[in-house]
Amino acid sequence: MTKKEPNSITFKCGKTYLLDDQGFLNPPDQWDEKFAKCMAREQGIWEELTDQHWQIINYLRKKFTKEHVVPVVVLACADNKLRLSDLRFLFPTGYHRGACRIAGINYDFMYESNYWLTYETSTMPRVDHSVTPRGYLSDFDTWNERFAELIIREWKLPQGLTDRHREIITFMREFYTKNKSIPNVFEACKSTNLDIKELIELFPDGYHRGVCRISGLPFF
Amino acid sequence: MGNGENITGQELHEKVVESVTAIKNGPKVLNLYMDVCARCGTCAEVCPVYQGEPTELRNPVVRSDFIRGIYKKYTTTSGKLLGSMVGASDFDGDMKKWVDSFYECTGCRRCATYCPFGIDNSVITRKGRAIADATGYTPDTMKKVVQTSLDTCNTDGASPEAFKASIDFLEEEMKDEHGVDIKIPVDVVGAEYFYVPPSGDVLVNPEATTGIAKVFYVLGMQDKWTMSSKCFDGANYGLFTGNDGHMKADNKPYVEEAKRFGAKYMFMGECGHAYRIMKMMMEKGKWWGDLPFKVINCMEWTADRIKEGKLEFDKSKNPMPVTYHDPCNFGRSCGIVEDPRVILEAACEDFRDMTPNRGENWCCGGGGGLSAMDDIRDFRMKVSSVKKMEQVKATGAKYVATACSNCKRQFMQLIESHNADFAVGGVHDMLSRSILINGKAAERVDWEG
Amino acid sequence: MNDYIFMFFPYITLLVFVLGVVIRIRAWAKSPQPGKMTLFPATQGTEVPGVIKEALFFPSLFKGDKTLWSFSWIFHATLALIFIGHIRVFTDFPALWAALNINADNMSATSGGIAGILVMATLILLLFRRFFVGRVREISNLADYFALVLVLAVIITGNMMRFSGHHFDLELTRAYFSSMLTFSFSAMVVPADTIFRAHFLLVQLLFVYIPFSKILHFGGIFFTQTLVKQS
Ligand code: SF4
Ligand code: SF4
Repeated sequence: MTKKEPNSITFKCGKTYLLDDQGFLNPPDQWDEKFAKCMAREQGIWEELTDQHWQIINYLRKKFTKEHVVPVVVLACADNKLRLSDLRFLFPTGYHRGACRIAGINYDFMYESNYWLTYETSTMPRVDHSVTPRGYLSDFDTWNERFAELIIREWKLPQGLTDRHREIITFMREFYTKNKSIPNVFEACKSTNLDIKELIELFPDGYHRGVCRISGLPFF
Repeated sequence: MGNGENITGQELHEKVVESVTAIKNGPKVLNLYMDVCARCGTCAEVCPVYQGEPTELRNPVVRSDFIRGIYKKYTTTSGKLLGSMVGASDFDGDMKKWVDSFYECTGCRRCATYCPFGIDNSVITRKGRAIADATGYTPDTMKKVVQTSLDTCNTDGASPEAFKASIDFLEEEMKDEHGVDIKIPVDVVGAEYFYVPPSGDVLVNPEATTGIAKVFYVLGMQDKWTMSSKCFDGANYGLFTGNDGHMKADNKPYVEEAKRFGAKYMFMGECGHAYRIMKMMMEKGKWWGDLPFKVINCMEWTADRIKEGKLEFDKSKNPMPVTYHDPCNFGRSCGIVEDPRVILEAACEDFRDMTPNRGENWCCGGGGGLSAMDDIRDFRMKVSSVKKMEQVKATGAKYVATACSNCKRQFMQLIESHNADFAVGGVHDMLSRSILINGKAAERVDWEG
Repeated sequence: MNDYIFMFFPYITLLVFVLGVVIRIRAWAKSPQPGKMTLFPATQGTEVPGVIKEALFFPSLFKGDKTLWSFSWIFHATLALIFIGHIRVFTDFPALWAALNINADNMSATSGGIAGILVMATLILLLFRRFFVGRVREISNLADYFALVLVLAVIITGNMMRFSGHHFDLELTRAYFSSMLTFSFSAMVVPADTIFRAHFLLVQLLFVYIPFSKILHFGGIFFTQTLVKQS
């Protein structure tokens, strides 16, 4: 997830895969389990892939490599005894954009075998953390990286969640855990060596709505 | 893209001229449109494509003039005598240019709404596509969809078995949501309502279909409706390739199926062009003579039931701001504009309209079958949809409801390629999530927000 | 020789015009129309008033392009007025003027003068539009410019008769037209006024051109609008 070029992707583990212009694995024979694991993170699955994930992935791979079809989403659910909402939970970016992508089915194949497939309308989850009306995390303890990623998505930062973000967030969270109060902006900047320019670059919403919110600190 | 490899330049020229001159004996609308345009440029001002990125070939009149010029040259005395003085021109042999251009008009008919003469450039577009089809130039995607649909009666190429499996799945799904058995009857002879959705509403985004099943359940009319395991896709791409023969051939099994069921109502689902073909063309144009049934639409029907106070909702299930995109074929072409709003107002907490809306709505940019063509995806994302995206953004809606699978596909890709912050789905989807059955709304986990 | 042109051409013009228009409109009316083209919102029964409204006030255009609407509507409205005003060249209604207690010549001088200027100004604006607005320039061909220039020439010659200061002999012209209407060729005296002759020739050219050109849109609008208004 560190480097992204138009038609290839290099994951953290250092492995590079070629993609088609829609961001699907192509040529398909590059697929391996490592790809599935790394691509899953890209598709909003922050934790490890579970058995249920693998059941779907293996099912899709079998259909794709042995039978040369991509089942429509309803049939895929029916075959795997899953509810549609289960599938959405398992693959937050959707069946075709999430599950099929992780299973290494390329876009053109899917489009050619049945363009309707790409109609499926579920999207990235917006809220899977309970937040206040102003968008702050309701419960400090429920913070995880996925929450930070969601906010980064909201800001549309091209480089995504960087290590620098993580460093600052860690400081904020530790400070809050220790002192039960929010550091003021000067303290925060000083302790993390952050200047105003960088702050705005990394957290376009500023200190309160940006830094504090992404760190899961409550709103005062 | 189909390249018409079996045709020589000479034959092509003859074919084109022959089809264009045939307009003379053809329908009134084309005859008029060949003569009447005052060339005022208003259509370009309101065309989603031209407004997205104005280039000469995207100007509706320039496109229509491909055909108008030939018509003038070969059928009018003035064209023969005065040539370009009266706007006559010859076919330049470049069919590829035609196809590119005619498949850049979304057939949204917005131009007709504002043209002082009501000239509908999409009719000329369709004629252009028909000529391309007759000479083998129809883009391959389109050809394939039409063929699949003619072979299997649905654009998915799904078998009756697959369809039945999906229906079983949907029934289980509803059982999970509500704890009661809500039926989706299949192949019931004697049912009053014959439900014809787009196949996507069963196989890909099935919530619209479950929504309708729930309405029938609440009204106690479970045994009054049916679907067909053969004819479950109203989509008809003959409209988009301009091939009348295909359009009618695709339509016929549906009419026969309705007759076989002895249905009183052909109950059309959330598919704009399917409803338009059934209602405005098949029924009003009397393709198959007088019919023993009436063509109605699921949205007007549900909206009437809501107005009668027969349905109840838990609006809090749909708390996000919702807006409605009028599919051109429903809004401008069939006048179904208030009904979806009635449903959404009843089913959602925060319904907002875009401006302009209803008959003046901007096309999503994927009309005229374009939304199925991924080879022009860039055009759809960056040109034809510019106005629509502005509109949606201005409402701040987080969910765009629309009653058309083609629109949904276009929106889905727009969300992806613009990294936009909203979701898209159907009208009955919203109903399905919030309708009360035995006083309870569906138990579902919402991962869309 | 010159005079003969002015004696016989008008009949030919009229014949070509009437026949041309009738043939074109008949063809439109006769052609079959399966299926409906209705554009919504359209309600049952508003078809006829709707079409008339379109023909008189261009409401669709008003929604789509307000600038063009103002040019175009003023142009067409004044053109219609001027057309009506020309009846006085053929005959006069002294009784009417007396009843209304107005001086017909003065009134026609002012209202006709204003209309003449307005129609010329709006037409020039329309012409400018063709040159300078991209989307209109793209679709303008020779025929479009020709039609505008022809009408402009008619208007300019017409205005010249009123404004150039030279005397226009209304009585003589009226006599010319009345002998034409009664086919009394022996008594026909063609006014010698060159500007009048130019104006009249141009008008004839215009009328002969109309059935073969897009100017026939004044008839077409009733058909095309009916198509999209009927429900
Ligand atoms: S708005 Fe109508 S009359 Fe004007 S150029 Fe377009 S089609 Fe022709
Ligand atoms: S139908 Fe729509 S896309 Fe086609 S020319 Fe008219 S306004 Fe443009």
